[in-house]
Amino acid sequence: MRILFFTLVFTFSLFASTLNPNTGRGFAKNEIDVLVSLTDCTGAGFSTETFRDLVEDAADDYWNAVPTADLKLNVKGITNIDITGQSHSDILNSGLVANNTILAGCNETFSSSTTLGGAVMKCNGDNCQAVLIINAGSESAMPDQDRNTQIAVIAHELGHAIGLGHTEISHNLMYYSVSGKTQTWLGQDDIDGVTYLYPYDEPALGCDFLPILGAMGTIQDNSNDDNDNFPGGFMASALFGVLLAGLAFNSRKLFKLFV
Amino acid sequence: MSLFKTILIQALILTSLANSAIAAHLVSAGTFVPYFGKSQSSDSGATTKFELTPYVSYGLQFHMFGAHYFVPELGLAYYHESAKKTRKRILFYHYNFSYILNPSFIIRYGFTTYWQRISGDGGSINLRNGDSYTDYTALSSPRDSYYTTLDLGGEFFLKPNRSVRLDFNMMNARDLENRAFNYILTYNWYL
Repeated sequence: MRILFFTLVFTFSLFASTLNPNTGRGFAKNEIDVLVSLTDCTGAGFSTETFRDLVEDAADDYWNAVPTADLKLNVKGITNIDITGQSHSDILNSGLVANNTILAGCNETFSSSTTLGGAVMKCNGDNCQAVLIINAGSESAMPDQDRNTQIAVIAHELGHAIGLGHTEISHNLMYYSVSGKTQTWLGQDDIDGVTYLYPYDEPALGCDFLPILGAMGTIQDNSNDDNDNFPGGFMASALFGVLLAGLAFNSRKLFKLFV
Repeated sequence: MSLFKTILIQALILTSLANSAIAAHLVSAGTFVPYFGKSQSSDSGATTKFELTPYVSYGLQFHMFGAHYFVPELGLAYYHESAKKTRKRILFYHYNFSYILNPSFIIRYGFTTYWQRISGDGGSINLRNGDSYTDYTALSSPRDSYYTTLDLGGEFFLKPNRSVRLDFNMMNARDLENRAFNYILTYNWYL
């Protein structure tokens, strides 16, 4: 009883992940292509080829590494799309970016030198696109960052591109600033946010033939839930039934435990 | 699956289990620690090793043969509601087996299905964005996601019917690079 009291009082509080204010949602598909624009990234401290490698590391080290989220960012090669001098909205409105695609590039359209990058997402029905731009202006602070921080900055912008907003807790990747911290992993807010948008959807161990595993990897938006099946499949409800029966048979013993 | 089919299968499972004696009822309370060593917990880059997320469960211990038992359990991890009205609950369906190694130690193995629900009150949250502030969209309608873990753990008996248990739940079992562990540390009462 004392342990129950202790655990209920001294608990870990959940903070809050948020969503991209442009869309308030994620991509409709869980596999998203990431293309790298053929633009000059010299002002950001690296070549276009190196930028592509950084984008791949950012995708793999952060967003593709969440076991509870079914998100796969496929970083492709360098494309001929040139975004020099164009803002995020110019690029998205020009139709240069295909559906279900994130375009990543560098340019000098940022008004503040302290802004390391930015990303904007746009959706029309189930068709979503996003643009990620790293500040390659002459005053950009990006070249001053070490490689680990550069990857974290790109991963942060990828987070916006897949539909996430900022969080108020500083150790999360989606905090507004990277200064004064060492970012190596996602924080719990980042993990919750990406799991909310892209829940894990793959049967464990590939055991699709087992109904309990095959039935589990789904997302449900319960706002319009007209499905009366017990969530989690029949095995879960069977377990619940077994436990309920056991509870009914021996409720007196349980009552004694807590009184 | 239709409700009738679900009830029929449950009835079959219950009938088959009725032939096994219920060895004990099991009530547990403790803490659930997600993403052990793989989620950042401080600005210095430290990762989560321990946290207090209340976890309670109720289960039954069915004797199978010899020193082997089947121990289905239903658990719940509860997170305090945040100031921003984001809520998270995780319901655990544990399908574990146990092997009594000696009177004071049990090895546990099996799998667990997590039913995780995250929701919020909607609206917007004003957060810092560069040199200014932006209204970010808050989480709204509840969303459920399900995932399955492989479990391995041990249980130490302090008294004949009181024990301490540590279970590791492995996520992404097939992916060596992105494999991650949750653990559940509980104090248990056998009734």
